[in-house]
Amino acid sequence: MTAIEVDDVGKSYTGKGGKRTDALSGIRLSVPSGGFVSLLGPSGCGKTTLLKCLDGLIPVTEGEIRVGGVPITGPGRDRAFVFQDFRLLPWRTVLGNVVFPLEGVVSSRAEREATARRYIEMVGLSDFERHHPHELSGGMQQRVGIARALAVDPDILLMDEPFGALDAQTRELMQIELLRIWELTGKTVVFVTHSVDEALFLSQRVAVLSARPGRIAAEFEVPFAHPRQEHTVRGDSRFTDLRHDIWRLLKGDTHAFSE
Amino acid sequence: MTAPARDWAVRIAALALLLLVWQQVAQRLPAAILPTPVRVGAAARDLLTGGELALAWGQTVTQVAVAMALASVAGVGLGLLLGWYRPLDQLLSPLLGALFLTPRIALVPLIALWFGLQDLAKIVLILAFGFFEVFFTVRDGVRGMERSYLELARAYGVPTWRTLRTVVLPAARPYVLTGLRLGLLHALVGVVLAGFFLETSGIGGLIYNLGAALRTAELVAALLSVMVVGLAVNVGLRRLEARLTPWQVTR
Amino acid sequence: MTPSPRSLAGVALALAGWQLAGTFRPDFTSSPTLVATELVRLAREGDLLPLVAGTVATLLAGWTVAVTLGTLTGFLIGRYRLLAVAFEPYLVALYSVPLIAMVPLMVIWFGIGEGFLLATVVLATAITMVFPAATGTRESMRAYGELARAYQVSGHRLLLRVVLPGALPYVVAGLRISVQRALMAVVVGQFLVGHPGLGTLIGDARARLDADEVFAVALVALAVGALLTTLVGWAGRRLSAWRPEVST
Repeated sequence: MTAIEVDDVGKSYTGKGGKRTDALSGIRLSVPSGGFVSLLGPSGCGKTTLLKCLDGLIPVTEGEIRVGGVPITGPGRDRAFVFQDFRLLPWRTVLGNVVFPLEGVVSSRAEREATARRYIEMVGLSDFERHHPHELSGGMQQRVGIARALAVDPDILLMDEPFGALDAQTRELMQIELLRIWELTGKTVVFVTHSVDEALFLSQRVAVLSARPGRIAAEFEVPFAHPRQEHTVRGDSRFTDLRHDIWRLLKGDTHAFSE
Repeated sequence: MTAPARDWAVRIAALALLLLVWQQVAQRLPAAILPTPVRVGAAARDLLTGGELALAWGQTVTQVAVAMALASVAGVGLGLLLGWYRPLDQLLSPLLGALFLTPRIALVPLIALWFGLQDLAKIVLILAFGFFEVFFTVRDGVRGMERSYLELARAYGVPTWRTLRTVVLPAARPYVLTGLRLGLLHALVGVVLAGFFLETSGIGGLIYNLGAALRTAELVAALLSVMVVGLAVNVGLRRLEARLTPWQVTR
Repeated sequence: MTPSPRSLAGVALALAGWQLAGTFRPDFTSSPTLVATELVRLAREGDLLPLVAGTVATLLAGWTVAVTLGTLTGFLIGRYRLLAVAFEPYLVALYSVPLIAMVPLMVIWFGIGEGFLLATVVLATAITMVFPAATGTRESMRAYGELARAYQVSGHRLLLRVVLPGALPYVVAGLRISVQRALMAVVVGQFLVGHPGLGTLIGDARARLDADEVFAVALVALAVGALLTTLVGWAGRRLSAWRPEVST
């Protein structure tokens, strides 16, 4: 089953003085249902743009994106977006933030809160549901962001460098946490990152984007079975080989990588 | 000594030094030029017990209350509307901007022409001082949050009217509070000028009359009362902002 | 920045509405054409231009002193914690109060001449520069102080090459507010004591309540305010082009 099909998608902007910039060009990609696919690329390669196109936040200028076989026209409740900057509403508590997308959809308040609590528990924040975002660490804030996305019970999670603003240790913990949640819920995940290691550790497939205009340069299958253990994966020689191959591909393109 | 204790010692020493210098300088000058702190203290007591200060502030407080009520309704309403809806902002901004750049004192003749010199005119002048801070702070606040929070609402399919209620209004709250504080501080300038250039009443009028009568000690005491009120407004409302919007760093 | 068509439409609509209102109650609202005629009359018969020029000259003189004094004070309390501990509460107090209320005291101290106007401008304006300069100095020290220490930059080189350039964007942000305050102060001063200038033009309009004159004078004040703010904004952007604008 294919969850998302990206069919020859292009995105261009017309800037000042009518100058046209191609952000994405000729993107073909298919994401299997329940799969975990990473979009990897240097900053400015258009990977976030592509992810926002998948959500319908940005309209495409060429081609078509189909979700469950149906062309998308805008954001829908079958997809949920996780932002790099967490984007929690600072005046709401953890519970209030997770409840937010359910308001106006689920009419019973008790039901809304019960759903929210279930996902707050899943991300391990049950003791903090009355806290405000500014009282939480970055890692905890992004757990709220993930709980909020899960609360709408989407088929697809669209994650835009969700751990990019976190320190290295927190980041690794969150990766393990995310895999656990993915294995538990069976959601389809499209994950944007500029870290080769993160992409390899998390995903079943890595699509590498090249810059200006963003194109898919290559796709790599990641052979490790789930559930993954961090030390076994990172220590595996196939991991090192893949890492080496992707780096070689990227070096030909740019030096703008962090790791 | 601990750091806070030492800080307080420094503050008390600084206060003592200021008062001492004032006292020393004032003793060598005529009282009509610069009264000593002791004389000012006595004058403050006279103004308080004689009821002059209470009468002036009473007139002023009513005018400020009415003007600021109007300024908040107009400022918050227009700020939300123009911050949210860009075409209307483009239509009205040049006019509001022009009014903002006009020194408000130049509106005195216009206000006198349209509203006379009494209470109504004074309220309008105070309003002219208080409104813009509220309006600009709220509008810029709403405009600034537009991209990130609105994108969130859109990503989660929240309809427009609900976005306005659950995202835009709460997000604007800190800006409303900051705008009201800045507006009130500016309104105090309007209060003083209303007393100078419209009907000579209220605290501005009292200051004008005391100055004209060369009652310098009372003048300084009245000025100090303005200072106390301004400081109380600023500090008090800052505290309130911090309590109501703990996530927001106030300006 | 070029104005958008909508902005131009807004101005056009306002002018048209004003002209229309003027056909019903010219004594109450005047109208663009009447104001234009009045402006020409003021320029020909009155001393409009010399009065405005004199006002701006006084303003700029006082403003220069005020900016220097305020920035220096801000720099000192930003740089030396002890001074901040001792005097910042009073400066906050001065910032919170309408200093324009002090004008009657200024009259007692300085009379009603040019010296009074200068003193009024300095008194009302200097404080607006203190906190931008102090914040700028603190931010600058926080951001680059360690860098300077690591490379053994100190003394006047630290001040001139690190602290002041780093603080500049904050100072520049304060300039626009301060020039508007300075304009207000000089006009209030002239208005109050009848010292010839823009303030007395406003005073005359306030006394005669002739609608054409009232609006003409308000427009002149708008022009002066807009011109000063634009010039200061432009100069400020030139001065700190290397850094994005900050708000204080």
